[in-house]
Amino acid sequence: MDLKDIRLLIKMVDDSNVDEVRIEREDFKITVRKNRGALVSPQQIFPGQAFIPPVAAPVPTPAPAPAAAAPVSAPAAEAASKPTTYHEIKSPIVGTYYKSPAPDAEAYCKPGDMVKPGDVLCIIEAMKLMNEIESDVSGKLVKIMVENGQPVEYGQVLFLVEPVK
Amino acid sequence: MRYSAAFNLELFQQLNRSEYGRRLGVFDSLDSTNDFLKKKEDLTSGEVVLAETQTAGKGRSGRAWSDEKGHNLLFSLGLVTDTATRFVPLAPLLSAAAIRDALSYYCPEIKIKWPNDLLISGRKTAGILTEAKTSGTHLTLIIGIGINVNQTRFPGLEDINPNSLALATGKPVQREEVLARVLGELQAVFSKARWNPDPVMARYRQHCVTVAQRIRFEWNGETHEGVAEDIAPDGRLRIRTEAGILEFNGSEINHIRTAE
Repeated sequence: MDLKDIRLLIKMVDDSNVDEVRIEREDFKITVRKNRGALVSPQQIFPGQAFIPPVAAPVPTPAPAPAAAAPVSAPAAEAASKPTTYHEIKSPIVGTYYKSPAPDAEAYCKPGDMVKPGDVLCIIEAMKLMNEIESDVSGKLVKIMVENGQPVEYGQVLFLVEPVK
Repeated sequence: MRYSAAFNLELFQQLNRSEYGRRLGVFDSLDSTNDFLKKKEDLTSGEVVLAETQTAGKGRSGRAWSDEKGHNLLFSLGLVTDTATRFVPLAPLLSAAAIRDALSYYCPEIKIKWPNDLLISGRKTAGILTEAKTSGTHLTLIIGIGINVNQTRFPGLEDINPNSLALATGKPVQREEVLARVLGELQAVFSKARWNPDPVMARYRQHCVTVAQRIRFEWNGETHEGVAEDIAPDGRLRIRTEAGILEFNGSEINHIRTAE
């Protein structure tokens, strides 16, 4: 079992209803547990290998919480001053944020715009793959959290939308 | 067999073993097969649309894909998935690996030029344009593919000097069979990649002509030179330059060619 298998194992546990998986073989044992530093295996016998997979994982892992947490501190503080709960539109892939379909074209959206499901808000580009990000709610676009051309992470918040009922 | 003939849907359905292409729309002419699928509201996963000509077919830097009616394969595949799908950013490269596998039946020496061109004898034979749209957790992947099958002359494209399966093999090739093979390999690759894209990427590297070459490329409007050392796990090209080893994604650099 190598790091790749371990990542898969983590994903498997993550996607499942089980809280903990323990595998024991002759030469190693591993425990994967949800919500608690993931891996507990002090007697692991790959001496040279650091156990935590590199954070800059090249392919986004669909872990629900951690990826999204970091970059929102500023708006979170802003949001806290208001009672409104904003709907977050997040990046589905690691890539580059573009506000318009072409460098000289008009931006897809700006703060204050009313948006509805299906409206394209931006493009996230990765490996020449242009991914059009659509709004999945109706409401007022309150804030754009990223700058044109900025690299974005999987799960990073791109837009805050104040939903209309 | 003739070089030019209308696409035979019935023959294709007999040959197709894949889940992809069970729903296939054939049009005489479309603006762009990618745009057609992107706008289609009742798109089902695995659906394919094929056009005999595209009036606004997109290629690199907006250049129209040259297509002589009834000779080539111009089609798009739609995959309906979700944002948890790991392989999405690698889809252009995975598609290139799948198409290489399929076309190697006709020309075993076919190679991939990073990130997603297919070359026979160093000349472009097929190209891919991958697009996606995301709404909430719902992600639609659109893979547009152009394959030069039976076209033997490319007026106006002398600078690119494209190749085709017919030119490379010296005889016409059945488009329906090519499409069935390509869709079969695409399905095989994506079902594997859903679980783990690494084995497909290993095969990609094996057939990628860009790796281990001294190359010249355009970056930020300047020409640079370096040695393409490897493809990173996320699909970026790792280039050893004088400044050190740098990684570039497919849209950061362009006009990659061998340095003498």
